[in-house]
Amino acid sequence: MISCEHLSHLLAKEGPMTLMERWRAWSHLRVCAFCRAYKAQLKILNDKAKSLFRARLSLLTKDKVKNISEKVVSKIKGSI
Amino acid sequence: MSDNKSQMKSVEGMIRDINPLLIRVAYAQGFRDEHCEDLVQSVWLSYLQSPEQFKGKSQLSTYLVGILRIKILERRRQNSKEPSESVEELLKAKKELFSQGAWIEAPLSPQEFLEKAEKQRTFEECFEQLPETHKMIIYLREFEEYTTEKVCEMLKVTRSNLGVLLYRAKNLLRQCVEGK
Repeated sequence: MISCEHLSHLLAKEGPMTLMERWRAWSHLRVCAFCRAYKAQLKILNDKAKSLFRARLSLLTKDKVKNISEKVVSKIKGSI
Repeated sequence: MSDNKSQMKSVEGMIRDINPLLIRVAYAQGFRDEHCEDLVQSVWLSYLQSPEQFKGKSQLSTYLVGILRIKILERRRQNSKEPSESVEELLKAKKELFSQGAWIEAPLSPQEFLEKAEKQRTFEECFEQLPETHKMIIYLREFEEYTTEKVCEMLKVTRSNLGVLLYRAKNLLRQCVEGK
């Protein structure tokens, strides 16, 4: 069976797991409460990060984007 | 003269096309109005001073997000005592979580972890403590869901380094929340 460390890399891996990796992860998670907790923590962090970005971007209205953009254009025009 | 005018028009058009992306990325990284405006302006000035540095291997917008990352790093360094933060340094900084493949400290239970993460501002404070590159990777990859290739082009990192940086970013974040 793979180690906890190996599993942690699989869970945070870039892109989808292969079939074999999924099998290995499943077998490990079945018997390891620590890694189940770790997996749940990653999900919580992902959700919290998404909420944070959503909250920040909710302040950025279309008018605000246009306003900032036009100010940038006019400053650039003035400097070249 | 009319050549200059039409050139200026095309530069303006290009700036207007790409600005929404740059503004969105800067906003997501916590830069508000004037700061966001200054940052985006500095990205364009930097590009327009030496446009020949853009080799056309990626889209211009992708290239400019890379410049934005550098400008954010410069800005944070000016405003605080944060150490410089190259990708190489981030890759070297490693905190051991495992000994012989097993957890050194057991992760908190999901319930305890969630309680900590939900405390007012805890999560945001922890997120803000991350190196800028880690924050951008989490935003671009996990929130905007850009492809691995695109994020690698934006931040000028290899695929395997991106994987390592994302892994580190998540573990730093969870260790910070656990410690609160």
